[in-house]
Amino acid sequence: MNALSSEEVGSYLNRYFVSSYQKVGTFQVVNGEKTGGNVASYFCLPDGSVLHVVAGPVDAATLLREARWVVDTRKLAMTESKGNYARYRAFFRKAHAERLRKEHNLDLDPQRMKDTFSLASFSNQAIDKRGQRRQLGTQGQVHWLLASDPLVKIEQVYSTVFEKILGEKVSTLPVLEK
Amino acid sequence: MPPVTRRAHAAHGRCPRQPPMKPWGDIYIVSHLLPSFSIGRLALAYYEHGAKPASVSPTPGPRIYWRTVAVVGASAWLLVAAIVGACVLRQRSAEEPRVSLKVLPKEVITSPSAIMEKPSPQKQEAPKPPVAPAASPETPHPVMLAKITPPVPPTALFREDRIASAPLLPSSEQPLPQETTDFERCGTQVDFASNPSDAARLALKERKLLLVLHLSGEFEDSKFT
Repeated sequence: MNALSSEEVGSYLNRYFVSSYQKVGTFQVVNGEKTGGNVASYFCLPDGSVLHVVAGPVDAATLLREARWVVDTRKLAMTESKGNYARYRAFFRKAHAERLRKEHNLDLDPQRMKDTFSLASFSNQAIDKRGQRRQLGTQGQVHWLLASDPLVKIEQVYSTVFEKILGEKVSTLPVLEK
Repeated sequence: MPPVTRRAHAAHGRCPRQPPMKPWGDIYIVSHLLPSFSIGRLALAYYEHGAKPASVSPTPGPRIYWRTVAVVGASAWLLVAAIVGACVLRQRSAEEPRVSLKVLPKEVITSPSAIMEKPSPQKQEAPKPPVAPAASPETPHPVMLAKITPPVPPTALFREDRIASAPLLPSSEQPLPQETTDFERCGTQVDFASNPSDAARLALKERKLLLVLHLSGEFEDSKFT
């Protein structure tokens, strides 16, 4: 985790977040070479509601940018929602949809997302406003997932992120050395 | 105050046909408005300097209605005693330690008949499990120290010996007290709480967000990350 070794990243994360980690998967070491394994960084509310996910290893600048986006968007959401949960949730839906549109050129239909989305049927193909299927990259899938189901609990979504987006298996097995 | 005579009224220009005035006109009016109210009559008698209120109560009778005074006084004392008693009971109930429903095991909550039954002598003599000393200062038990407001009636729903004998997780599996959250850096610049539940509790307390890393391998060992 080179990004976490950055002093700037560490300082920012220690200021705005309380951090922890969990082992959810495993990998193999074959002849000294690492096979498999991945990481997902969840930015959550204290109750486990997921605000954002960074899927996969990223550099320090990217992790810092995403962390700042979460902090700033959360502040704005608190201001806009005025204590209303539905408005808060809608604000994060809109924020992820906006990033999808700007960064991944995918214009979503919010009403269709509400009606058709389920975690079980999640795939890496999103459907845009005109009903056309679009292939998305890793981070695009994260935005699509969280635009469709904002503030989903981490315990409900982590297997989808780890297995469907990152392509790893959730496992409690220890690391194997061969 | 000197008595006011009919001649004195005439000197002040009053009609001699009017009924004889009482020393204070207001009291005269009150005495006619409340002819049957004993307190009013009592007051009238007092203001007339102890004289017999001939125009108010022509029939002879006691000047002070002691029965009424006694009833009113006793009622007032009973009311005061009831208020004081309620305050004392409320204070005592607030001081008694109570147990939160969260610590009750499922079997106790779901079978109230098991709680209500009378304890057998064998159960009373049985030694308490090692859960009871969990309230000692060495191993604080934050959940057990919670308080509940109402007093425990004689037919209490939750008996202390039942609660003490309830199976709880070993102390190693209980969440750590707030003061003892450990952080480690694992070769990074980020402080990591030892587990996500501690991190979540701390985030809530400090009004911060929560960052959880899900990864493959052992984060503590860079060889396995």
